[in-house]
Amino acid sequence: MSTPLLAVENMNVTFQFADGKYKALEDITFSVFPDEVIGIVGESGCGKSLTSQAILGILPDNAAVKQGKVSYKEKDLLKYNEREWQQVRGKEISIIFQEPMTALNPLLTIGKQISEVLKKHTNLSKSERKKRTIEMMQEVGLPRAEELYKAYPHQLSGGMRQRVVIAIALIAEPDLIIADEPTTALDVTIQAQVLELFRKIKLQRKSSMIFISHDWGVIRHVCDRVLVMYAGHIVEEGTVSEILKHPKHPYTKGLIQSIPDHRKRGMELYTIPGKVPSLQERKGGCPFADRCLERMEQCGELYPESRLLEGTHAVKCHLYTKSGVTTS
Amino acid sequence: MRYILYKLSSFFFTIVMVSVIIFFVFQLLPGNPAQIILGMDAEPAQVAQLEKQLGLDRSAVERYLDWVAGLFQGDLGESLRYQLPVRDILMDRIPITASLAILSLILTVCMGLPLGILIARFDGKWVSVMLNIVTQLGISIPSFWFGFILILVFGVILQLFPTYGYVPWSENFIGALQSFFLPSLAIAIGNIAIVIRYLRNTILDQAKMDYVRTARVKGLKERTILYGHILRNSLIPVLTIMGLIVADTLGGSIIIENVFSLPGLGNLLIQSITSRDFPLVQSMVLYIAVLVLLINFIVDILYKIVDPRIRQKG
Repeated sequence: MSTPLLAVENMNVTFQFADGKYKALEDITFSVFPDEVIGIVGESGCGKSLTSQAILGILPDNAAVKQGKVSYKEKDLLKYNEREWQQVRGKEISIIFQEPMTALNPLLTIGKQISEVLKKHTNLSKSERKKRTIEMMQEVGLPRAEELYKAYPHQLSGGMRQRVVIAIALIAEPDLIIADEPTTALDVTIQAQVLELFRKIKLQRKSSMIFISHDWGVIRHVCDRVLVMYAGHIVEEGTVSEILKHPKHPYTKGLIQSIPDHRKRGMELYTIPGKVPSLQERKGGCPFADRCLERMEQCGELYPESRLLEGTHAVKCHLYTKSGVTTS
Repeated sequence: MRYILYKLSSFFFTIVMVSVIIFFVFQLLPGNPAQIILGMDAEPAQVAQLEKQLGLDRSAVERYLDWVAGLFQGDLGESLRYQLPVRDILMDRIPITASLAILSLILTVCMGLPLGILIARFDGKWVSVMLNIVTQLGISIPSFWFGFILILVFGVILQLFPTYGYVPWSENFIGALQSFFLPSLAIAIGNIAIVIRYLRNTILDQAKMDYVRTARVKGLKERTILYGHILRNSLIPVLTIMGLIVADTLGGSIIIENVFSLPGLGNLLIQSITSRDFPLVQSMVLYIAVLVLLINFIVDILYKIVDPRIRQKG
């Protein structure tokens, strides 16, 4: 394979609270290759958003990367100072957040908020910036772009605002776009439209994407490969079809089993018992052990090593470390 | 435009209501001005004579209409005590109070805004503890105390500024500035503390908003984020506070005018109330009411300039 665009290696992120330090992300390792769309799935509180914040250097004040490496185009981002980060953000890597209603500044026009990115990262003149911004607005499916250029966020619906946020993320043509649950806050019909937009972006642009979601439908729709996260760990990874057809980790199996499906009509929806442990509740061993239906003796003590099963499919679970169900 | 017309009409309606209330409340106050002018021992006939002369024997409604008709012609009536047109008396006093108010407003804006921004930028544990102490002192120490200290330091010890009275602007600009500087500063200190506290807190609150995160992931510099995004959002609540401060200072600072022996409106108001000088008191209360309404009106317009969400509702 070619060299990865983004390579995260053994990254640990720690939170500093009044009563001590807590590991929120542990041993995160994954790569994003050019032109590839990676999905990250997991329940709320698994560290999906935190991973993306660490990649962009926008962790909360009380969190820090304690270990590991984040290389982008073979440069270590973690060694960057604030000024160097600013050259990366928006221009090289951009992010789309979940909450379109509050993501825009209520006092500035849409046009200003999109073209601001060009002002920062390009040498275009004012009129060129405006022209490019209006083109971008049309590209993300905003109607009457000329008119909306002068509009304010409160005049737009949630779906339109999310399109504006997407335009902001795309306009400087970054090579990596992170979408952090971009459709979660939208109505179902609008969700479908925005997803369609992401598919279009994927086809038209040569940029890579990290798509964070807890919705398998969304993941299946846009992603090539998928990482399953649980309690700050990547517990399984592989191509979308590998994971969906042959889930290995009991957590992944549980997640997939709980997808609503027309064939299961009338039946009670499956749920994984228990909930994600909070930072303070996490202990040694496999983080999923307490909720696991296939728990074994060593699960409570030993953290499972990652095991490559076939192709790109890897899993961290004791079921596969010794007995070796499928090895290649 | 429709918004401004709507605001203007409600503005005038409120003024009419205020004038009615002011006039009739003063009718209910005990104490007969004719009696006060002539003293307690005056003959009833003499009092009746003076009442007639002052027009106090007519019905209240008649006198109210007279007063309002006079207002439209710029005639505010005649002071009972000074036997002079109220207009002339006010015209003597307003420039002094207005000078104080405008100068202290300038000081408040020029010191409060930059300091508030600065302190928000360097926010930290120690900075915020110190700030809390200093601004709390600034807010809770009464302005006359600052007045005395300023007189002592700059007037008596350093002899840089005059300690009482004033020089009219038309006579000597620098001299006038000097004479108004200390009292304005005494008024401004508390207001500066309020503005600093308010602005700093709003900036820090705004910095946690999602739109700031969006601005940050665009790759913008922290400076651009502060001045281009956060500050404008933070100005909305500060505008409200500024409006209150301006209305308060333009009404006249009774204590500071006394400390610095300035013949302003605050002084006049006290005197005219004790002497039951109805025409004068009425006019001053009306002036203050109009002022408050006018400033609220201006603040409303400024809101609309800053905030497009309010602009659209009009």
